[in-house]
Amino acid sequence: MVERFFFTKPGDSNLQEADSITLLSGPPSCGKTSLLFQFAINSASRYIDDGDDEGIKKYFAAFHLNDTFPATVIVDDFGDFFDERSCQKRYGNPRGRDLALVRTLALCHNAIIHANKRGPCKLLLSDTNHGDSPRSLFIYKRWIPTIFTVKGDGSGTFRLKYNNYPGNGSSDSTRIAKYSIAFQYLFLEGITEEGDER
Amino acid sequence: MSASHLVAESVWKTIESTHSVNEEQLSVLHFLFGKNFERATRIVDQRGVKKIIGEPSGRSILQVVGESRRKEEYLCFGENYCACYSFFYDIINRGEQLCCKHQLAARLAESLGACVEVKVSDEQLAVLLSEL
Repeated sequence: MVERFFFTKPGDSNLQEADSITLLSGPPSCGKTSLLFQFAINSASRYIDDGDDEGIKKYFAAFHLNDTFPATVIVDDFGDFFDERSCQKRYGNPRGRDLALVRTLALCHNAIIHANKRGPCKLLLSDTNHGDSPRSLFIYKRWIPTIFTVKGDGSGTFRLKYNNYPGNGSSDSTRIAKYSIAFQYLFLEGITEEGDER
Repeated sequence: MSASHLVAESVWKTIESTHSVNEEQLSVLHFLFGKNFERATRIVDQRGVKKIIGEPSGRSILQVVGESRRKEEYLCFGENYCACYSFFYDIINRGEQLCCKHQLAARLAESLGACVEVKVSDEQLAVLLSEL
């Protein structure tokens, strides 16, 4: 599962097994954008990294108007599209940001499910977290069956792990990709099974 | 998936395959979803579920009438989303309940083939969805 973020041979069957919607979560400057770029190179993708939540909503609201769908839509720093203050003002609610997140995720999910009736179409989101879990994990889990998290060890090495949440039906062992960043390049140091790390 | 969810899915699929519902199925759904299911059946009986279908894409969204006197309409994506506050506060925020009454009404109406179908252009559907 973690292999799809690193260099793979063309037509690698691993890429075909990806869930329709995936979240990549990690602390600042851990190489998330580089991981997304690598994922994009491995599939025909549409990359979105700028705008506000209204723009993203409009994109997925009109998604069915496309003649052909991209193999993957990648949204970098998904959480940044939702400004706390403007969401609170728009909805007149202190939980305005969460409301906006729920509505947009539901729209994304509906758009991708519709697109998949014609052919494979995946959505990959990234989000920056400053702790152990994405800030809005309880919301993300409702619509996103596959969540990868990145953790750093403080010495420039990071671990990318697939998280298996109850209810998504997966019972495979967890593979962890260990990588480092130098001169803005990702270096894959190895892929191990979770049990081997203990 | 929780046991309740799996049981509900099994009942929904049977209703979908026959486009009809019997007393036993109603009883199971009432047991699983409580008062919300009662309210949902009332909404369906009053033909309060509209399926808005974009042409030619076929993408669709459901619109469910609320039970209040104001007769608000809520947009639903089946079991994945409803625009009402109950969906957000009870289901997403607190993790209580499986579905709001509008989602249940939408699922019941779809399974029975009891939705009022409205066809719109794909552009009109895009505008509707952008106002979610």
